[in-house]
Amino acid sequence: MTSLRELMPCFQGVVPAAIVTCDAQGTPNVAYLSHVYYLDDRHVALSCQFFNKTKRNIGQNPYACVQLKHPATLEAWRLDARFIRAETSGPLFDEMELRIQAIAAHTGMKGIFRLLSADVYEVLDLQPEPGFVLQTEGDAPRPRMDDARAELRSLQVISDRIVRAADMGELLKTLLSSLCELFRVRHAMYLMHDEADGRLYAVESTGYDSSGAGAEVALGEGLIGTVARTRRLLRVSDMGEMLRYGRAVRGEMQRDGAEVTAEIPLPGLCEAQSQLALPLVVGDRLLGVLALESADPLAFHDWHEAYLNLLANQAALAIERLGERADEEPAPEPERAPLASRRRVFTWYPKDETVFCDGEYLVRNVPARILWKLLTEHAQTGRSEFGNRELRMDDSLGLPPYKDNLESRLILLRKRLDERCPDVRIVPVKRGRFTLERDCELVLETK
Amino acid sequence: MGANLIDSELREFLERGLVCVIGTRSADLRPDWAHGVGVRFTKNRCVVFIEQSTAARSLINLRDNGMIALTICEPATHRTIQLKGRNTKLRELTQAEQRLAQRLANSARHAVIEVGIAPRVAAGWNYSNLIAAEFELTGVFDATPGPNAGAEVA
Repeated sequence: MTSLRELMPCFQGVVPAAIVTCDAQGTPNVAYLSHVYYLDDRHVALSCQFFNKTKRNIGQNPYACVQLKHPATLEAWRLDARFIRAETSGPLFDEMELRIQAIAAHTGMKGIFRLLSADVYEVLDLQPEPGFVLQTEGDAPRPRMDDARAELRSLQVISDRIVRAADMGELLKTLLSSLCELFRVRHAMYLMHDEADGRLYAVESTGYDSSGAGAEVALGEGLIGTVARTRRLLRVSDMGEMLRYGRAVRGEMQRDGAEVTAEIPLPGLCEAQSQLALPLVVGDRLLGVLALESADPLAFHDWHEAYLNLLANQAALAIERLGERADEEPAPEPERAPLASRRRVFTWYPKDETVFCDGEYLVRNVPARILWKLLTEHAQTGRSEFGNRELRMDDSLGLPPYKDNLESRLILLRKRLDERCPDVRIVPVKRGRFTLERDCELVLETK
Repeated sequence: MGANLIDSELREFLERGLVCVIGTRSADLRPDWAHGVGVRFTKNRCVVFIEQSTAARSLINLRDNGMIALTICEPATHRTIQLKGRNTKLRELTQAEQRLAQRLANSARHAVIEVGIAPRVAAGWNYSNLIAAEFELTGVFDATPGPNAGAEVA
């Protein structure tokens, strides 16, 4: 019998598996499975989302035959199994449910499309079916079944860089670029969790056309929001297949009269085919979510999860540490550069707590209040250097009294200005201090 | 039931040449799958073509008890229909069926290329040693993932 462990890529849900069961009267039934989950070398778990014919048949006759296909080569395996039990709670159920929740959250079926049970089967036999595909002329080398190389050295390098980062900006930049380097992906982003409003805000990213700074995700919304809400890592291989499956279920649910909501656009790459999202947690606090994306449907493997979990834990501790750093005393004001003849109009909308620049949305919420404070003080007094401490002590900014994410909010603000209004810049000068630089005339108005 | 109960839209879907998985069971009710391509309807019967190289157990099952189930699935939408039948008879393909089966196989290959399977891989999908399984249709069911899976459609 082939070892189940050798078939790890088949358990990523890229190519749907088929299951054949048979009732007590001897009528066979074929159904597709959304997920076959590897448990150990003798057991798999199958996801059950609906009380269907398969479920009824298994109640009468516990034997099943599953067709598993390799996602890259289409090679097939015949898996003979016997139903043992259905789990409706516990770690296995939670693990399998996370994927279902992500599909549901993304395709507007939150709360109505859910896992009913994780059905555990004993594997009686597992045989390859070499005749399922023929080797074609000029076949590329087949991918290895389980590429579980230990890249300890790379891990150590990233770990060192994270621990030595001097400030939040450097930490996030280093973290994302190192992850891309190690995992050979080109796109990664970090979203900060704002405990005040319970939303996630993109702060830093790498590989995208625009930084996406300020992009928002609500807790439980889409893949990233699901990871944030459940605080558990989620790897989705072949997002296209996942979405096709979700849309099929959604269509059937709509026909059935269920109230579904609009599909949530994925933040980041529109052609992303795999995504790995990790919660950054310290104690009981969610600091943010780290998301890696790739256009390759099989970009991430099991070992990535273990490695990234280690890194995410380290990064979370480092973010926490830098967030708590004491602010430095003010330095003498630097000389102001001569102003250019350009004009930039900043508009503060107190009702929405947003700042617009030249009629276009710039930033909202806490970063907007911070920006407005800096701009008005600068306009009234000419002052250009500010410290984190004074921002923290200013109650009007609405920063939480404890764990305020100020550094991340300033990075977000800096990036938004950089993208939308490069004439006005927030430039860190030393730990806990920054200057407001401008190459334009400022016009401030409140509406 | 007769194939005449299947409406023209459904019949077009089923006969288009999509991904086909066949289910059978042994005398002691052990299920098995086989890989096929199909289907075609005649007045009272339905025929599906089974690739013999991966169907040793299923062919024994069909000769033993003739009970068959098969799904036709469109990968791009997951729309899936299941046919159930009995009294399956296995026979060689006619020359016309050989040509038809290869057309259906190519159509199935295109259906998986549409969802990202590399054309080189799809080209290797084996339909070279087919046998015809002709059966009496007993039911047509919606098998698209969702709350309606299992509902009779004809």
